[in-house]
Amino acid sequence: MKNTQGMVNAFFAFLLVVILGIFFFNAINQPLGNGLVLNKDNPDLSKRVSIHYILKNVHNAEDYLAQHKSSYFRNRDKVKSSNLEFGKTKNAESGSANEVTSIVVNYRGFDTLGEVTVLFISILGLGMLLHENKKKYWAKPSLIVRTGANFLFPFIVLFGVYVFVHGHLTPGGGFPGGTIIASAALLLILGLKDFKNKLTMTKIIESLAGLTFAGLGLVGLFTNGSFLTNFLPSGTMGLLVSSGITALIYIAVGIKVAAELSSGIMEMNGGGEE
Amino acid sequence: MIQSTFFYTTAIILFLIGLYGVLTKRNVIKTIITLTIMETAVNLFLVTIGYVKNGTAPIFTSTISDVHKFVDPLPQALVLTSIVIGLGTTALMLSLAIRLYKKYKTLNYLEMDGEDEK
Amino acid sequence: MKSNYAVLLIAIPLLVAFLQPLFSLINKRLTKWVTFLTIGFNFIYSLKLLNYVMANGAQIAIIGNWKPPFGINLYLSPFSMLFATIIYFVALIVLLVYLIDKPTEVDDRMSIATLLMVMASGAITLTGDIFNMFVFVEILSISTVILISFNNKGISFKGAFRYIVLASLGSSMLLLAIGFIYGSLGTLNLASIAYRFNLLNPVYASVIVFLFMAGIMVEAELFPFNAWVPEAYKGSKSYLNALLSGVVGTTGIYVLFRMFITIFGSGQNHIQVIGSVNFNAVIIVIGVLTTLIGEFSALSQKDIKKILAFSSMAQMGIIAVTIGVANMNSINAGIFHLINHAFSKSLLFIVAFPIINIVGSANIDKWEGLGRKNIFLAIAFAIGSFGLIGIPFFNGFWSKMMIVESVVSAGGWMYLVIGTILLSALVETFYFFRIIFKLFVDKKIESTYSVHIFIYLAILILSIIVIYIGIKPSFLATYIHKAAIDLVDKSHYISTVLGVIK
Repeated sequence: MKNTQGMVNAFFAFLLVVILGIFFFNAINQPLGNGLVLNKDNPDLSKRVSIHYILKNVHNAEDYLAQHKSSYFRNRDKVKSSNLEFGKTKNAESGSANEVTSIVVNYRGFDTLGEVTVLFISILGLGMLLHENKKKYWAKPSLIVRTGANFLFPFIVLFGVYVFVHGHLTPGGGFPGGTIIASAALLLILGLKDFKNKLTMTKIIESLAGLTFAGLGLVGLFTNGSFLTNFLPSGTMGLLVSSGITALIYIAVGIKVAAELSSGIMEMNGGGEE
Repeated sequence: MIQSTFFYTTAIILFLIGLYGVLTKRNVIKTIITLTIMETAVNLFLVTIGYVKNGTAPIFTSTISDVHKFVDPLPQALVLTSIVIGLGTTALMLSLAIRLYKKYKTLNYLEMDGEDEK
Repeated sequence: MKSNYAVLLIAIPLLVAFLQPLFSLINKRLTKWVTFLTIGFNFIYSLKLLNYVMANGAQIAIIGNWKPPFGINLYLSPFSMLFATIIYFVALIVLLVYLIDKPTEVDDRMSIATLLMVMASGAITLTGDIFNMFVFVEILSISTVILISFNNKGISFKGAFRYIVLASLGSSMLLLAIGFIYGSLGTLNLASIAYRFNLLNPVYASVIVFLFMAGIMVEAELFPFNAWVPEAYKGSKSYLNALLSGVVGTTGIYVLFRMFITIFGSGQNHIQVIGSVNFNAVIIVIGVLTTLIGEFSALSQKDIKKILAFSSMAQMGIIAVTIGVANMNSINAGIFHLINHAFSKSLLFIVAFPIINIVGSANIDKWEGLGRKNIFLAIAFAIGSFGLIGIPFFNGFWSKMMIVESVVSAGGWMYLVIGTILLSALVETFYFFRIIFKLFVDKKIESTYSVHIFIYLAILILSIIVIYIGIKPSFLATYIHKAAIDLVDKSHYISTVLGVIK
């Protein structure tokens, strides 16, 4: 009886999925109204808002939109832009060589603030749910694991710091960098038998890093009249010290993510039991 | 050369597989797995939207500065956000699964419902 | 430039939320107060902004000094500010009760979750960017999960798990919709999407609308995505249910209103068949089904939390019908009813909390004789239910009248819809009066629970509002009228944000 019902459920689910599939594939293969086709090998970036992020000419585009009104949407590529060169261009809008970083932290920095909050709240929920979790005592780590953990820990942390400090220049940034550091914390938990959870410390670090992010945003609001404004000079593109608050925010994000994920791992390792 | 049609198709098929799993599976862990498949499918879809044939990563270096070959960086930023959100949700779901198992000693919804009715 | 400071409504709660772990190191009870004060600040500030936009028209707040459609912006209009204010207000009242609830070990985490949940709901109503909305929807759903699982019972975990499964299913669909939108229109800004949405191929547009609708229906408690409702409400504390209904539900419906009428719909001419599918009819059918399922499930329940949960589901269905009918009157009525529902339902949930403590059970059969023990609570419960049912001279009466009137004026097969609404009102009357009669049965209850003054305060404020709106509905009329105009005026939305006149 139960099995029959399962079969019926599966049949209707399959039917629904097939109908949805036809719906989606049909839509993907439709020519779009305004001449754009999603299903195309070379998407025309000049039809998208990201062309301005790539060319770093958003302020020019703002002026163009104000002057030409609706014809802007047909002529995105006519917006004036200056030539961008690695290591030479000075004070380019967002100033970071990594375009993804410039979007994540600068043009759409508000999303990242939300994203950090999502991580914050989910680790918080994890801690709340695993509150009664008892500490697990692992099998005694072997000599190799112990030595390896002690030896590798500083190098992994260093690598993580490298990744998020160079977030505005190279692939990576705050989130991967923070995760790498958290992996070092995991290694310590696995490698050291008498590892003590340091939840208070991670809490403080996390709070201060979050404070830095939101605080930098508020400084922008009170000095330049808009939240998360890049109020520092953006410098020469490609140098380590460049791109204003983008680099600072990514460092704060890196530290925050590292502290958050480490505290998540520690919650799983018995949490507040000290 | 693989066409981006291929990626779109894969993404949507993965999405539908995930949807089918969510609708039919009655096990907590299996539900979590299928939801993760759906998330991955959506991420693949987003990345494909920004895909440019023979494009380069959208990062200026000393050798690459041809902006017209850059792939679209915005979907990549969206995917970054969505991955982090997916991590948070999955972590929370798994810890809920632990609590559910401790309360009911089973991971099957139907058996949990049966337990409640008793 | 002044309007840019509106971002403080989001930035200050976030900043405080990040600092809360430090406060919790000092004292866990302190975090409750900090949350309360922060939401109090939000309420006062949003009230100020509401009056500002009522006088000066819609404003935008830009973030990062990038003007729309390039950066993220907040859209402050009578409609969005009205709902932000109401969300903050309901949350503030609920927190009055939370403050005096007995302390637990996880209070610090709970205060942060509550703060972020209210912040996210407010942010969803204000934001002008679709991906930003997605991020805040995620914050909302994760903090809601924490809120539900706070009670530490098997059923709370089950409710929380069901909610998070549906919510992440919904968010995958939302993100897929965002992908489709960005792939075709090349933008994430809502005004820019609204400006160019009708350029899309109808088949393609209907996929977007379908995915978006499915994505947000979890929060709005609408039919195929509301399986979480009974268990989540049953599993969480009764005053927190007021947040689930008054904040999460309201936010979900808000998004449906904004997206279907201003962004995807064609706004001013009030008939918006989107894409190749008649989505107005789809929403009406979903609304009617939700209402019927909700009301008849409520009828068969004995547990007060489940009754109120199903009833709030049913009300959401009725409001969804007004979105589908989509003429000026129905939008007015829908907004009015959403506000009334937020007030009356919060009142009922908050009253239920001391009653459950006095009687010792959420089963309504055990509630007999409460009127003798504590007449004030019984009367407040009656006021809340009268407001919800729509007894004349209570707030729900006016909004339900307006809904019926507007649906009648739409004509055609809408008569069937009217039948549903009237039937639902009848069923509602039946099950609420059943409870009220029980309250006033002459029977003695033994209990030593003393009701804290803050609970009385919260109940008093909400009761006064419910009665005041009932006696003088014109009190909110100007706000609602302006909000409705703001909602249907698509070209005004676009020109305010983008500066492009259509």
